[in-house]
Amino acid sequence: MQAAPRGETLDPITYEVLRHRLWAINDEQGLLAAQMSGSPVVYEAYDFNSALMSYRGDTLFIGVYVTRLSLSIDIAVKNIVKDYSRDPGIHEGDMFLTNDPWVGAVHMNDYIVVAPIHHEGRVVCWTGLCMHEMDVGGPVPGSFVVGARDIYGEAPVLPPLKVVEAGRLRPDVERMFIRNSRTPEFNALDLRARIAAINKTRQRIAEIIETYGVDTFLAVQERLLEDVRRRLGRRLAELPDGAWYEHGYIDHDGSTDALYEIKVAMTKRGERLTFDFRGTSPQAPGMINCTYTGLWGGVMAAMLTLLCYDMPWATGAISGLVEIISEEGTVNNARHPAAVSAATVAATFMTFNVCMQAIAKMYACSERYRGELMATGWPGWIGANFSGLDQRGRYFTATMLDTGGGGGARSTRDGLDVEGTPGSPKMAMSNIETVERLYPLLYLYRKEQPATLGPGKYRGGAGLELGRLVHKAASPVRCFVFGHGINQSEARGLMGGLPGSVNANVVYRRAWQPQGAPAAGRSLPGGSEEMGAVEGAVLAAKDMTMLENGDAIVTYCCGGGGYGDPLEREPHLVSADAAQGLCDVQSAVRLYGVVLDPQSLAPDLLATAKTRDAVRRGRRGTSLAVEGWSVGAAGGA
Amino acid sequence: MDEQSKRASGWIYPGLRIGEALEVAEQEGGLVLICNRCGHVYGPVSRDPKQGAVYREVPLAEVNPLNALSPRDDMVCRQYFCPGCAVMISTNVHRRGDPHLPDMELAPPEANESSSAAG
Repeated sequence: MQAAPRGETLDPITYEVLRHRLWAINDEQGLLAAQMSGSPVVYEAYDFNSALMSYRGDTLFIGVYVTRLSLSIDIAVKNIVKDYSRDPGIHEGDMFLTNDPWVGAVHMNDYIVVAPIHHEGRVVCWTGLCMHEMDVGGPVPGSFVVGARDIYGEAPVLPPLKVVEAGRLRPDVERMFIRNSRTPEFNALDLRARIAAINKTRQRIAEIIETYGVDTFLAVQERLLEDVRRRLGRRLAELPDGAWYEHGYIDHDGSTDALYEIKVAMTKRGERLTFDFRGTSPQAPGMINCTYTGLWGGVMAAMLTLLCYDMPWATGAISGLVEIISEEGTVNNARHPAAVSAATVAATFMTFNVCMQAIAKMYACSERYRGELMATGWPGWIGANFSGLDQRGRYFTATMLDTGGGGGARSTRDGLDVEGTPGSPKMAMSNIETVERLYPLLYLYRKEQPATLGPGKYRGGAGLELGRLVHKAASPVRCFVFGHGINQSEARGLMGGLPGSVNANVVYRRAWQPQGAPAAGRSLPGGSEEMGAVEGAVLAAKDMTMLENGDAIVTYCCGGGGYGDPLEREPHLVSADAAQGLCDVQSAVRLYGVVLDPQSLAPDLLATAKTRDAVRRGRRGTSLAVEGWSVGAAGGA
Repeated sequence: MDEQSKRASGWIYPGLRIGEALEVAEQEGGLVLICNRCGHVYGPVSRDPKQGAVYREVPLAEVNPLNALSPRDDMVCRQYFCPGCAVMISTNVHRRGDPHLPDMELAPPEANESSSAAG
């Protein structure tokens, strides 16, 4: 057992230098791995993340890519220490590989490699990398298994295995990892990329220890954890005490089109936060569940985004100020053998959404922090996987990361039009050219869709509408979709703002043929309205369909939720939206009570005032007293 | 505690704005939430303001035409208004007929004071 080093003995300059250096080392580890990966979901969409942990396994730094992927790496480390210290042992030069959602991964696609870093025979820190693998086996290409009832119907689960032993790659483990995948080349390269990046981190840590000494290195770890604990504690103390509530639904479990509810009652007292999920739906007989790792990741990702935006993302410190109350056997804390292949984009995602909204409501009660709140943005995942024979006649499977929804409104301004994935600051959308080069898909268009945004005094951002066409495929293409926010809107408004739209996938058969006349006289359709007389078929939240060359799938990504009563939106902002094509004259009246001149789009202030008065009278005339009150998950504050 | 310190802390005080249209006020020695447009009193700060509001349920497809693509017709947007001036203070998405859910319950002033003192 090591004696705990004392962080307060460090001089502040050395501390700051090393703190920033460790942050850079963790970032370099992630980027290096991405640069060596051959998988477009990693090197282009940045669906990976890295984490650097203390010698005890407490997270010091979470990377800025997909936060939810690395937020439970420390859980994997602690499980490995608990279970493997004696046998097979944890030795210098070892690395462990796992995708077990009950050990530290969130779902099976997100393989983690973790490694202890030693100095003179003792562990001085841990490091880890998680990457989304394009395919890890199981009955469905892409490994998001629509229709699976439990984990035995999904991709293989690997408990932690020593993939590198004393610095030597174990070929038996490598082969086991690769053998089950439909994309073995990508997976093989991703594994080597992780190992190389972790080796670079080992080199960097050795350089620090050589320069500053191991005691200083260990003291920096302690000081960092103390600092973050103190800074977050101070922030929480500056916020009012109370309880804030939110709920949300996940559509469709992959077999049945049912709704599953996630409820949270967030209580803040002094410097502590409690997230109480009691009342959440029981685990589903399908792919949407997450285990405790996903629950933890969803809560932490929301905290990092809204509460820790200006401090190091040391969740090892944050965890000391947070309590999670959850019943095992629920959709976001599922027991083995629950199906979890869509965990990251379903129950974990929705856990993140409800926590974000609860924190935003807390911020709404603080003069100091109201400006930091954000309504729910881009909350509803709308994934798709295509597989078949590509334009070269070779098998392909591709999980698309080419979508983007609207950002949630702020208390002082509109949400971003087409933002990235929430909680994942550096995740990116796939490059259209890359997708078209690799797969038999042609993008018809990708554009902002104004009908998706949530109105408010400040509106949510608009989400994307994108049209993809199957083109030059050598076989029919199988398309699985696995979204939520399809049956109901998940982009909730805040403080009187309205929700954003639902997500949707619509298939248009024979939308365009290379030799035929385009549907609307253009070279290619520029929107669903230009698909001619072809009638679209709306897909279910989880669905499968076969597509032929010339068939199009149009995807609507929801917009962000609004903030404040839409009747209080400044008329000139509505006019500006109309000038940008984000609102038309009819919806200006319907959503905001703003009357615009049809030609100039200038607001008519007198007519607007009259219209808004009429809307308010209508509200009074149709509203009811609130009865049938239900307390939240925690039974009230 | 002086006024500046209160505003920088988690203190709940008369005049504190909650979101856009709610405000903390003092009434008969206790703190209540009021409408800062018309003065309507929603109730004590420790009670969710929606309990003092009125509401209506609007089918999701009426809120946004794209929502008509949803296969469900039982989902509604519940909209809560000030009974006095009809400003909208909250919205939520529910299955039709589900119970109301609170947004917030601020801690009573005593708890607020003791936790601040402890911190």
